[in-house]
Amino acid sequence: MSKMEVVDLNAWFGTNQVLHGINVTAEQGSVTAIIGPSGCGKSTLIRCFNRMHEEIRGARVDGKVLFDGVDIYGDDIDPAAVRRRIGMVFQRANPFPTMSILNNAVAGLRLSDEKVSKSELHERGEAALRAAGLWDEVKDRLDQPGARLSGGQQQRLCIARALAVEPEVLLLDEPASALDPVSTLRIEELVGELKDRYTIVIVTHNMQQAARVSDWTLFMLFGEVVEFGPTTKIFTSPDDQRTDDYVTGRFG
Amino acid sequence: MTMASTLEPVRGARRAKDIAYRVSLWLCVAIAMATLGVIALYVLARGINALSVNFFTKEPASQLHPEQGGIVQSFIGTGMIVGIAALIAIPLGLLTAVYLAEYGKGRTASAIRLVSQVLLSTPSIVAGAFIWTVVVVAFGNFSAFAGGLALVVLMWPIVARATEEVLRLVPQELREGSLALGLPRWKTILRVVVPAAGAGILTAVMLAVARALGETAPILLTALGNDYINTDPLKPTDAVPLRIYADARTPIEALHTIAWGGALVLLLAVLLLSIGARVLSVRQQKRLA
Amino acid sequence: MSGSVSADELAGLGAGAARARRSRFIDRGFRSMTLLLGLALIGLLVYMLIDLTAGAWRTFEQFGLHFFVGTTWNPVRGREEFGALPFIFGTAVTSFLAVIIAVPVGVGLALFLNQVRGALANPLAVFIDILAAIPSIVYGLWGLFVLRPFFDSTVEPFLASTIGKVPIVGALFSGKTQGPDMFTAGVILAIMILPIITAVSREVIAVVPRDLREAALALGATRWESVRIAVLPYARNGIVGATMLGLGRALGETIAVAMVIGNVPKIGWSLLAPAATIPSWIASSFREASSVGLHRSALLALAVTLVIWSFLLALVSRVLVRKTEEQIGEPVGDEPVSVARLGAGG
Repeated sequence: MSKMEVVDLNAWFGTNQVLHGINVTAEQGSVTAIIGPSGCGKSTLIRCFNRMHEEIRGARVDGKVLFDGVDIYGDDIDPAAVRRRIGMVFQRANPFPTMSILNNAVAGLRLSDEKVSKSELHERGEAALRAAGLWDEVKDRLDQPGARLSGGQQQRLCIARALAVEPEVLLLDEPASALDPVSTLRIEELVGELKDRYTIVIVTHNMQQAARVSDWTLFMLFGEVVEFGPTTKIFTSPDDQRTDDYVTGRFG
Repeated sequence: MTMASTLEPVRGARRAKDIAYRVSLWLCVAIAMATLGVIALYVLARGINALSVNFFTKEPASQLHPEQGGIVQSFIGTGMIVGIAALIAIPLGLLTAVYLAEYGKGRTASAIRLVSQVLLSTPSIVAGAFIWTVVVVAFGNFSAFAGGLALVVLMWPIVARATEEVLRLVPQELREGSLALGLPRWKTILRVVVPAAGAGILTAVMLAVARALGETAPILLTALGNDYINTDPLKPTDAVPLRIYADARTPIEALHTIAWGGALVLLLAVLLLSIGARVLSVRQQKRLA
Repeated sequence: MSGSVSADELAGLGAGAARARRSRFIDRGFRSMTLLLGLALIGLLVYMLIDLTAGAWRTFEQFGLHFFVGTTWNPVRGREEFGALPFIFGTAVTSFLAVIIAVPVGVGLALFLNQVRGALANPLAVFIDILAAIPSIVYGLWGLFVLRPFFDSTVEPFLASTIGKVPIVGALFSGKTQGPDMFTAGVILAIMILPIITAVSREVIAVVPRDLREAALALGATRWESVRIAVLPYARNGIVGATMLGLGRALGETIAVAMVIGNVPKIGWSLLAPAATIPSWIASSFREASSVGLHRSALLALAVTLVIWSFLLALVSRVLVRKTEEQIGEPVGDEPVSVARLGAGG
């Protein structure tokens, strides 16, 4: 069974339909990239994976998103519970400005209902920061405000924050698009390191990045799935002509 | 127009009008600054004579030696009345602001904002008259509590609107980051958004308190005033503005000086709060940018 | 991190489910509470209006429209008569006078602040904010002990002997120059409303597109001409709106006016005569107003009059400021909360 499976998903902003009948899966321990030109609905789609889309006023979703076979849009399901198992990192790093680096990393734990002791918080914070490849750079200044880090470091801090709550799936919405090339590479390396333990879905407008990091690729156009398959296939011998046009740079 | 005429300086009536315009602008500036200067100087010069240990620690003295008395009961009273008002108005205003900024986007929210605006521009004596009929007349006596309530009517919308502005400035990404971690909305608001708005909320509170300190009419009709220290919130209580008003209208010169002293203290307190609020607000804007 | 999730866990029915359910409950409760408070604010306004009107009702019932045009105010039992015209008159005259003085100066300040960058602009803006922050009672004290003697000894005799001698207009400055009067009250009010008029005019002028002014200057216009052609026509509505806001503030001023106007219910031509405004009269009479008879009710009727008056003004000013938006096509923005707009109490 796939870790996550999207079945006939439609989404609207008010009366404007932006996703049409999406079907896609994300396999356990793999990286799935979502690519497509601006406005094709990539961000909207990934935000449906953790029920963030509906937080926008007037937004609506129809269809199923299965997480280990359970539809997260079921009537009984608590969106907050979903988001604790499916984490997200945003395009622009958004560390909490009033919290220190360590507190940012463990924010999800401190603010949740779980009773976590101070030492355990420190342990889990360190583990998360290590997993995000940030530990060595910040271990001497854990008390400093999170906002003082560089852009790339802030983004890795957000990754650490997402990892600290121990989700099973990690959603990355264009995580490197606001970063310089060196930081971008670092993030891509991180994705490679993390993929054994997590199921990762990444939205990117950078095709080469998709080709580098992902196992599966979904190509979207105008809110619809054009083609979904193994990355190597999508980039070397896609079935659909439009896919071929996009990945060879003829448009987009 | 030939090239020659465009290079000639403006003459005659046009030039005269332009000069008159520039001069009158400077005149306006001079008027404004001179007025402020004169007021500040008088308050400072006349008020400083009144400041003494007695002024801050004693009640009004006997008829024979009025200059030896003080207005300690006014300071205590102002503290009580504004304290009561702040205790009630600040939480109310904050939570109303939370609704307006975080939840309300429809007609209800617009209605609440409109009502805030209306209350903000209501003459303060009307708030006083309102509480006068509801509390003073109903319970039979003037009280610090009634005074506090009259100020709540004025402070609540101030705190609400000013705090709403600050909450709106907190970037949406912070809320999303918190929600994406699986935190419920109320925790996102209380533990992430409100702290991020921190100094801005303090600014809002300072503005409201500054306004409350300076109000006279509403507490005149509700707390009435007192020549003696009163610590019972259910009895008539003095306040600095009330004391100034009362002392100024007596024929006793020494009490006039005391009135100036009260004005000086009041002015300094209000200025500190207002300027402090502005400084904080500038810093907060820089922090969130 | 392996292991699969169950529907129960997500639905909050498994371990930690009670926590999840409680959290959702708190979420809904929190939202409802804040909504309730917002509605309570509306309730407060409604309650205030109803309470004041209810208290004033007996007076309106007894005197009807005569309340607004009658000139006698007599609370003595057995001969009660309540006509509010003297106070409406006093309020109108002093506010009007305040506006006539404050608007030109305020607009001038606004234009100045708009064109000047650097060293002088900021201190000036700060000074205006300080003027705005001065409490009404301090203005009143200063007005009583500094302005009034000065006016009585110097300014008013001067006005009486110059303009006072001009036919027709001279009536404005006739009569006794000593003692409290509407003129002093008007001047004090003008100082008090200057900050808000300046603040709003400044916003309105700032919204006028730069390129209009620059186009005028590029044609060889003088500074005055560029302002006259490119700025004032667009800002006109907004400035009128600012005037209304200033008027609104002047209406509500109580203590400063009460200390310099004399509190005498009289109507007359001369600005140098004492008078009374609605707020100053309420403040000075409320202590004698007993519940027996109509006195208390009549004072509340005065309060209601003031409320209606200030609501109408606020409405008109809001409409006018929005009209400037339409003309320019850019929003002036929601009224921000600042010291200049809040003032420091009446």
